[in-house]
Amino acid sequence: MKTKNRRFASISEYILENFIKFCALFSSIIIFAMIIFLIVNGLPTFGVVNPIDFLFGMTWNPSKNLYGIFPMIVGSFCVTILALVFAVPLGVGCAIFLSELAPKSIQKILRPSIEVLVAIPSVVYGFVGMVLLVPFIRNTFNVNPGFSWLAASIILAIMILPTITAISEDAISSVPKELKEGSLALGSTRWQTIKKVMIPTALSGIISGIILGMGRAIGETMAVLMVAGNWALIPHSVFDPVRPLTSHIVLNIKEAVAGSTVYYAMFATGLVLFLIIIGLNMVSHYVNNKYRIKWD
Amino acid sequence: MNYSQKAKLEEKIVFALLYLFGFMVVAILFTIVGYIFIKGIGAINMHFFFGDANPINAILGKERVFDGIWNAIIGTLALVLVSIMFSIPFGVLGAVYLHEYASDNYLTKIIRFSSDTLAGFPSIVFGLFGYAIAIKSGIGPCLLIAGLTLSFMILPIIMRTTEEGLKSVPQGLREGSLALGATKWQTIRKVVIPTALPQIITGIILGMGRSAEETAAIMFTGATAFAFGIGLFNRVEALPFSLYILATEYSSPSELQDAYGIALVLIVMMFILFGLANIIKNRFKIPHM
Repeated sequence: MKTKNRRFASISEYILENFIKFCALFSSIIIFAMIIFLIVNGLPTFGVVNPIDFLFGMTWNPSKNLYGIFPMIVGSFCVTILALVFAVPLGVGCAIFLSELAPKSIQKILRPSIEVLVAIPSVVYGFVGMVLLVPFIRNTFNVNPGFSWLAASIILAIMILPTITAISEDAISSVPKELKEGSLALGSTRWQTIKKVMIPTALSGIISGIILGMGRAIGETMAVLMVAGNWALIPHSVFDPVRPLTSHIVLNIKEAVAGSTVYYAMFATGLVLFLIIIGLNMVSHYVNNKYRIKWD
Repeated sequence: MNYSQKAKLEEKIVFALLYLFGFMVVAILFTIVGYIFIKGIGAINMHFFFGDANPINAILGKERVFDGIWNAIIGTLALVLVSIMFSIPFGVLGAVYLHEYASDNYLTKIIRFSSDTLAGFPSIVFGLFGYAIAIKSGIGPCLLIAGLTLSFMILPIIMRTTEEGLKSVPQGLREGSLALGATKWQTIRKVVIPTALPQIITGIILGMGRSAEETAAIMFTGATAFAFGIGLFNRVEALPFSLYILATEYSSPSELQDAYGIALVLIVMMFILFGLANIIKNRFKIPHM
């Protein structure tokens, strides 16, 4: 119930309401504080290396005073995009399957399965990747070391699949029944209806889910750390090891002395990561609001 | 082939593909879980948990465990406790404010947006934040800092689920309580929150699960490979971190076996927590008035 009336029953109600207001503001305060910390601790990096060299420099070699993180930015995007290549067909496909095609008995197996995939910790994904996927890639494709862009993307795809499926299914089932029934009544097959009527209608929601999955993939740390190989170079093939931004931070923070340039550079890297994800969030909001079809 | 036949053929092919996709997802799940289970079950024995120490003494804290995961289990529990200690008050009360007190103005939009954004942050950024706090405050990485970092991560979860719970409380209940003379806060405390409690508890359990499985946020904020005893300002062992260390630095087959064991323990733990949350959510659905 919203209080429009500003007179309080007592002083204690006044104190209480403002205390609770402060609690609600806490999440905003945290974000604010995080941004400040990232900036304050990241800025000193640019006293040693200028932002252009930092963002676009091809070599990361602190002992030679080279602080370029471009290969890592490329690495993050590479593993994410390839993960989407796997996860989007599989995820949207499962969403269509669940909402339009699968009989109840199969839904009872598939839905919990997808929920269980969410419950698996990312270290366990990384571990399974290390002991199962990486040797598989190594042996099947005859490559070394097996820790690679491909391995990271496959693991990531499995991890973001539930997100894409859930949001897409939500979007598809929100399509008004009249549209679907009208299409079928006009003689379309079920697939024609899905392909030409339901998916285009649900598209803004589906895309929003994909962007959300993208955000999670870019931010995923442990699983990629354990399977990606972590060479700080731009990969030439999917079998090359790659180092995303998140792994870069983990690998360097451990060794970095507080106050050294590497220390500050890790916060700057965190800032880059943060900006990328905020950018994705804003795009997702924009797409969702601008292209959503409003039904009366 | 005429148009209609082509359309039907296309449908057959696509639908077969969709069935295949569904099958693949289930197969992937069973592969992952099954593999961990098969390889990990062999590791589970008393020595795995308690090393050479006597289990009863170890649980009572009389004997130190050197070669088992007991310390990591306790450490994980401690981290979860610290994290929910901070995030429950701010999360629940914050959601109460958003839903019960605030009007739909600029401020609430900021709060909601902040909560959603916080939920999407990579865990490593939280880790950096916690690390910076640890260094700047001079406290250094420890259980307190790691727990605090985790609490920031799970705050959006608790806020969101609490708000869902509050939304599902029928308005009639609130009005009835006020009509009987209760103040707003009395209504919230004695009527609304108890009614929304299953949802709130579900959210807390989900938050606990998140804290228990999180690695990157605790890596530099307090987790360590070996720790003795539990102290707020000591470093702490944690199951996911121990798994990471073993997986990347194992030097013998038995250490690898231990890694499988920890992975199995983690999976079982997560299943229990998420399963519990699901049961509570479904068992206590509130009828609409």
